Amino acid sequence: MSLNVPTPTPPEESKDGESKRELPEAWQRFLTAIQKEAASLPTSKN
Amino acid sequence: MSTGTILKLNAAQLTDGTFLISATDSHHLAVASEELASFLFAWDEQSFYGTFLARNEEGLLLSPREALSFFIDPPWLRHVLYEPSESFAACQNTALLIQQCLESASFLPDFAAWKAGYPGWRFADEPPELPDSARRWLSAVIEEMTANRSEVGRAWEQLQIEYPALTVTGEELSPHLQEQEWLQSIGWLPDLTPFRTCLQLLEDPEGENDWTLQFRLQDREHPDRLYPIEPSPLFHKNGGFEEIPVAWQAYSDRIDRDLATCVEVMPWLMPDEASGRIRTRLDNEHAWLFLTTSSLQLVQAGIHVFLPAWWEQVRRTKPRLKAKIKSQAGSSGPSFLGISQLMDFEWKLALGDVEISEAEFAQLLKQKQRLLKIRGQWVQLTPDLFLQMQDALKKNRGKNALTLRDVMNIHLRALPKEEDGFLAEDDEPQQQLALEVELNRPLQQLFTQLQQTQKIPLLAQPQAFHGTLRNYQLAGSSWLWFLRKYRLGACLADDMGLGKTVQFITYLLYVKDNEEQSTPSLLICPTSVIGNWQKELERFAPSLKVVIHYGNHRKRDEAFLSEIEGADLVITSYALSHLDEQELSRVHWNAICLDEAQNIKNAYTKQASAVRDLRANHRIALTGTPIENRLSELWSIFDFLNPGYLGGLSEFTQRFVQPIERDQDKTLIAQVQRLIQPFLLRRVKTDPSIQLDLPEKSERKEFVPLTAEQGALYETAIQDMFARMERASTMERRGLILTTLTRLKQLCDHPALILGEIQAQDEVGRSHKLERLLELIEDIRQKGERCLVFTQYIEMGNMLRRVLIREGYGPVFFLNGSTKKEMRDEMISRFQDPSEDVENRATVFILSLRAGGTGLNLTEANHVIHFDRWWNPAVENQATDRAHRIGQKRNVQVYKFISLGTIEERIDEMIERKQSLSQQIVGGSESWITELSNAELRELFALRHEWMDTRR
Repeated sequence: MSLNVPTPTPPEESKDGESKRELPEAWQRFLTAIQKEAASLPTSKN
Repeated sequence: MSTGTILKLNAAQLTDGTFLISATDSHHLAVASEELASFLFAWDEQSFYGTFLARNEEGLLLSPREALSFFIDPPWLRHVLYEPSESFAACQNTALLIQQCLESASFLPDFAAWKAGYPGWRFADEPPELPDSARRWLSAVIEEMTANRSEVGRAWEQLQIEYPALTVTGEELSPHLQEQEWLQSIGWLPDLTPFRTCLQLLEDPEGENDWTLQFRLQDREHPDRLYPIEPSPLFHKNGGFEEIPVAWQAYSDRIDRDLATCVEVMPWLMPDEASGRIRTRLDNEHAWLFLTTSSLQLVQAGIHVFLPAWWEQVRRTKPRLKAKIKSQAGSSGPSFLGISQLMDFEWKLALGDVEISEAEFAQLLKQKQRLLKIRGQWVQLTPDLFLQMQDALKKNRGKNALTLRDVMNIHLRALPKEEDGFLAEDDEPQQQLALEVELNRPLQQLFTQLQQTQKIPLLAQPQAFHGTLRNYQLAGSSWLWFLRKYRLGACLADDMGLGKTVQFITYLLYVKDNEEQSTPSLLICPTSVIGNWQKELERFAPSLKVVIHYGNHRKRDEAFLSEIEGADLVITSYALSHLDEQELSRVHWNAICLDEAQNIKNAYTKQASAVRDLRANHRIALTGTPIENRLSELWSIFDFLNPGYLGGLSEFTQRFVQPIERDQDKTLIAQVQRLIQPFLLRRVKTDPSIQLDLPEKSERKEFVPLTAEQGALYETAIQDMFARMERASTMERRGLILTTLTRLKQLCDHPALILGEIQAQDEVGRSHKLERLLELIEDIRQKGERCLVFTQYIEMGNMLRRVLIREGYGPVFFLNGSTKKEMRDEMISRFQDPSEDVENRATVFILSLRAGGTGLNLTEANHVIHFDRWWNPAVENQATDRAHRIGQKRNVQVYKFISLGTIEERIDEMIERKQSLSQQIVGGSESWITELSNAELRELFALRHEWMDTRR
């Protein structure tokens, strides 16, 4: 089913960081929280 | 672990998402899980060095999140040679990929996963060779993060509130839904449609079964602009464009799709598909379905819904089943009432302001309507409510009368009005039917008086009373008399020393003055206070004829009945209430009063049940301890006062005691308080309305070191306990701890107590406590004043008496559990008699805490010495109140003796800090100590040497 409107660019097609800016605030808060938690993971020594 | 250990590591992701890490050694033998944990997690603090990790017989089990941390950077040990298998190495690579993906937030919701029934995620840039398990792992890690009460968890909750479509998975998702639409509905993709489709439910103001479902388009930029549309499955073909902005016509596909979603959620909107018509007129049943279910599903599917403003109130209205007391009940005056008095009533179902009679309800039941308008107001009758109501009526079928006990119970347990009526925001709407009672006018007045004692009429002091009653005492006696008129049992729980005795004596005089002479009243009290009662009755109400039923020469059988003939009051002890049950149960007493009612706290004792079985017109309990904090005791006393009022003990325990003790449930505590409040009167000395003007009481702690002998014995006792504990069973351990506790406390008093010396040598020099006591008593004697000395140990009391007489402080009285009544009365009377000549007058009165702690009046002393400590300060205070009570004219000085560095000091610290020891525990017994761990016991018992006297 197609719409007669311009198809929005899905966030995954943009580069890192940019995608979050296009998302609503609640999504941005969720992704930021995930990033924060990921930052507490150990760093690979390999 | 030896140098050069080789470990071949394997990894596998199990079906539930967890990872199994296993290993074999250089001999290809499997490494045990315990050992593997020490090889792999020796430095991992988070898992407490591997201790907290789950495991099975094959190896260690890691959650997806734990596995991620582990594979990113395995905490290898230097002296171990690790050989990762292919699967292990693959997990390491995937872990790094997931880490990068999370750090850069380059993942997106996976529609396929949501359709499959769970919230899943995929990588934004998935490499072609990505193993299938990688997505599963990524999703599992994010799920683990969202499940925690962390920032991620909170952000996820908020996201779900804002986009409810996120909560819909599996079959609940429309099969026609496309990924792009779904991403728009969850807010991941912007929805560029200039409007959104809305549904509004409107009621027909005239009709009672007629509703309209209005379909509208709402302007996203100007939400107040709403355009009605004619719904039809093929909107773009059938037209209906006239009303909407021209620019929106390009989006007719979207309107079609939204309408299709509406029909999917509510198939009954289009009962006949061939007709192609969507219905917009609804009856009550469908309106109810729309309000309760469909509206939520529509919101989840991204369609906006407007509901009538009153719906939220109706939804949250708590249904109540009301027993409406008929107007004549209780109107004939108090003489017709009593806790078992039956009252006619009728059932009503109350929903907000609407009341439905039982007959109306039966009618509605036939109609099976769930949403209906009654007397101009919409009410919701859920199927669940129907069942509950039917159930409640079935239980009470044929019951057309309630007892006053039932009425009070229902009325007092119900929530206060301001808290009532609506469900809390997070309550389930289909919660239990609340039961309440609607009182008629006479009962309303009675309940007001019971709940606000100041509204009870104050009677004048009886003519026959010798002396002057204080106002609060008159109020107390009037309260007892008021409850008597309604045959409602009363618990007078005034603070020690406020004169419960005179209040009961006054009550007896009211009975004598206002009622026909009938059988006597019965007073049951501890043996130690029988004499006190006798004296007080002689002093304040000499006109009352009193019979003391006590001692070996007491009358039995018929002689007992003859003796009490014409008496106003019979006094006996708790022990005899059971032994002479046969005599006491032959009389239907005018009133029964239990003094120090906590004596029946253990409901299962023969004594308690004998007392409960006695018959009487009215029941009274006197107690100086705040019983409201001790629930089982409270039940026992209340079951005596108003039998059955709090239900059976097991029911009460299940409903109140267990949840209150377990969770400190505030609602239940308040409920119990409301239930007992009308029958409990407690005033405290500090209450401004009491205006007691008692002299001041000040406290001082006397810290005394142990002697070297005491210190050595103290340490030996502790060492001995710990040594024997190693071999002891649980029961033996408990016994051992309690015995040691007593030994230590005795030791603090004097070493001779545990050495079994009958006549100790050098008694004074071996205990600094004893030395200090003599100094204090000398000071007191110099001032011409008197003191009470309390101890828990009979041997200590005997020694004190011996030493004091030897040191020239005689006469010295010692009252304990084995002191005969005559001797006890004489001691008290001599100690209190100011006319006794100075030579013969006792300066010191020693009392055992147990026998002398309650019920005695020893106001001639203005110094109180506690020679050893008790866990519960209330028990010590009660003892102190023997001197600090009405009649005391001088300031009272209290001394508490504490041996430094010992268990006594710890007891004192605990009382001061009130730390985790609740009143319940402290008040109960010492048994909680037996549950402490060895380390805690060491801390509690250990002797702090810095305070030990090393002079010898």
